[in-house]
Amino acid sequence: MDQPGRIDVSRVMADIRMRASTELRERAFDRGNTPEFADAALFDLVEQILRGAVDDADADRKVLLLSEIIAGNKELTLEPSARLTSHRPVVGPLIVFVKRRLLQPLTQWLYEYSMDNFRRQAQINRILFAALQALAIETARLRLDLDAAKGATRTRESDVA
Amino acid sequence: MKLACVVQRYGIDVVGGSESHCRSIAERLAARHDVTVLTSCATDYLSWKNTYPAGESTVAGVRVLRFPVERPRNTHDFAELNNIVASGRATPEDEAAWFRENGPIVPDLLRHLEAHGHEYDRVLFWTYRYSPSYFGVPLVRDRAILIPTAEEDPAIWLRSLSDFFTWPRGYVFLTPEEADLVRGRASGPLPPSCIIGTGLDPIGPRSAATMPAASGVRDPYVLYLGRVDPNKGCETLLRYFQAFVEREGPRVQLVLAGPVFMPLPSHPAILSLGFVDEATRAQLLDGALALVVPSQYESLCIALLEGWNHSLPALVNGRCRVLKGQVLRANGGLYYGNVTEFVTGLRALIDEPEMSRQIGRQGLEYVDQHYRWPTVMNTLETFLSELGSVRL
Repeated sequence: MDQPGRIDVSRVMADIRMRASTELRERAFDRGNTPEFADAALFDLVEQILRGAVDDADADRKVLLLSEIIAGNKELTLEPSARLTSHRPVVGPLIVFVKRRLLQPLTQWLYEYSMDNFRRQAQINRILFAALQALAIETARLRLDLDAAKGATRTRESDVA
Repeated sequence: MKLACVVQRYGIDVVGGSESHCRSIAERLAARHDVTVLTSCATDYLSWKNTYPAGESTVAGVRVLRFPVERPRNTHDFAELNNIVASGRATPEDEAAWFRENGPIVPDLLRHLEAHGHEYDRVLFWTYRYSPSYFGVPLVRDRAILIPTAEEDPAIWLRSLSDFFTWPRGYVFLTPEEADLVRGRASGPLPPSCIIGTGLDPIGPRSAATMPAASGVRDPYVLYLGRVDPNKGCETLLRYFQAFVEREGPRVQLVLAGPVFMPLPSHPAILSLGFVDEATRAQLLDGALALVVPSQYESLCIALLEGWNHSLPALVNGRCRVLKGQVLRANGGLYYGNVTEFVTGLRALIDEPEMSRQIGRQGLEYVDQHYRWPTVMNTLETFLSELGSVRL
């Protein structure tokens, strides 16, 4: 039971999230030129789906279907870490040594800058995959509901006939 | 009991979360047990350069055995390995190399554990990520207690950790979220564990003295404590705070107190003080409107507990499970998941001062209940003795 005067943070947060959501809707509606967001209930659903996608992308390396479908396809895989190798059998080790000890330190700043952006891009991709997955699930569910509704209508029509 | 505490660095002048935690615990355990700290001669966690002399010494009443670091960290190799690990495609050899290069490489410490590990009743290891723990735990599995200080960073996803996490005889966690994280990564059930967090001493009533005008600090202000670093979420904090000022005007100042490791924007409502001493830190905590904690990776946020020790409400990054869990358990702060929630949360803390004060008081009550040293040590002592009665 709540003690008198004690504040339950989860209740405060529910209120803050509601206020934040209203503010976000107003911004998206006014400045985003998205007339659909005039409908608060619709906005809530959209926000819920997108938030869920961000949470899914964060969740403990949750398996995302689209990532799995394209996994192993080299053309679609970010390769941020450069493994320094050489295919030459004799001078190969020397070439690798030169690359690692001389060239890599010189280009380290560019490498680190790119790595940081690769990491961000990978995270954005995960969020987009999760959003697509959520939308695909919604579409599939609607299709199943529609098929069921069509089936029920056909049954009713044949019963009437 | 005869106890060993294994940690990567140790000393009064060593700054670091797990190192400070180890020292605080070792000093308190030494009051009742025969404690030896096994550590390296290094003080710098980037280079691992030998600084202290090798051998035996006493630090604040605790026996310390220091072992030399074989070679400093090769920063290029480590950067390369880090990138491979972050890509999620590291081979077992890459992973072993990462742990070695993360360092410190102290073969004599491992030899000591091999030869004398059985002489200790318990060997406590701080932090899974450093070489002495990763290669040391397997040598004394029957008596190893791991204090993993695990966070949701890329290292936790190293595949070799799945088995490693099942090897210790027991665990000491800092938060329930950390326990869940490690449990989720282990390939089998975890051994017995306890959750202790850390201890804080009571500080008495908040001082009414304000910061001198020359410091640039002006009321009201929200405070960030710690390293100003992108890895601590400070880039996002600065963007969110600037968005707050754009939408609300300069209603509040953001004061950053800690060494700076990133470029800072020149902004009239943002003040960076750099490193501050303990007295200034306490004064800042006493005068702040709220403490802001933007970090994404935490195993336990000590700054948050410090803020509560000063009855300060918090505004934390809700995407970090540990921080969100801490504020919900304590009812001691608000959290945000995006910029609009940050703005709305900060606005609420400013516009509703009675609510803010009450939330801060609840944070202090929580610290009083769970994070005072007698409570922390009682939990740890009970765990160590009960664990002892199981197999010894």
